[in-house]
Amino acid sequence: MSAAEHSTSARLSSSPRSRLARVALQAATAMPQVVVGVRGPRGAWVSVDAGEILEGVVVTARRDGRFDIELHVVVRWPSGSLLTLADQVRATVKRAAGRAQLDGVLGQVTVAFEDVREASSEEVAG
Amino acid sequence: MADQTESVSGGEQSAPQPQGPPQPQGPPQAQSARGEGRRSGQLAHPIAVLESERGSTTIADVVVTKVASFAALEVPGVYGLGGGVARAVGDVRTLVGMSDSRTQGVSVEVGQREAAVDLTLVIEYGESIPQVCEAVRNNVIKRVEGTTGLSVVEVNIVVNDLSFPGVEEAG
Repeated sequence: MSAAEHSTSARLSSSPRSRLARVALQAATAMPQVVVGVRGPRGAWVSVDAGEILEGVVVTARRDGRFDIELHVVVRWPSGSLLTLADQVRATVKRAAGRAQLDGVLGQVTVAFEDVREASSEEVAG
Repeated sequence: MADQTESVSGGEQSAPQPQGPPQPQGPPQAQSARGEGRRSGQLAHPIAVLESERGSTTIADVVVTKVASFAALEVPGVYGLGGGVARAVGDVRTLVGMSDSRTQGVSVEVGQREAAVDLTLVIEYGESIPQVCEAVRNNVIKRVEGTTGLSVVEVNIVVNDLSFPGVEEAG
């Protein structure tokens, strides 16, 4: 990456809020039970980081300097308890935020299950 | 669980019960899913299920609908969901991408802590309808309660058609 590109990238992704959005979404969708983030009605559930649209995550600033996160996701069927999965998502996001040194600004994490998708036969076999 | 009914019908299931706009949520156990909940497809926004110190968890109506659908179809003897006309219309809507076949024949009404499920089934000829309905009811309750944490207060079943071996589409 050239110095100019690095500078642009650094400038575009310098917001803790947008970085937190990316970290949270990547952490959640990396879980095997989570299929994808959902864009939402009229794109209401998207964030932008470094010029990239992140579907399924909304980050809202709080007065105390932290950021609350909403994750809107599709979950894979068969699934266990969604409440348990929501806690696992929160724990995963918290760990990922810690690795990104963003745990100091992480507020509450709301997990919204917007849809359920049947696993393909290959996924079940795998 | 309460008020579980089933019926065998030659026609379509009756229309959903009329209801007003969604109300602000009161104490979780104080409201009835049947009395104050919402019909699937009526609203896009999800329901609040659980609040914790670290955040809340919400589950959309369509998730409950699909879980009930998957649960019903898991039961041996169930050929499909939805009535004849509903399935035909639903098939067309699915083909053009307007709907998901997994929500055909399933209607849910969801409160903050409770859910009521209405199912329209096609059952394979030769199966005991009462036994299949009871198995469906048990599996729907187990799956919906286990997956979503909602308490299922009703599972109403309409057996709308029979499927005969070797016939592609019943009725």
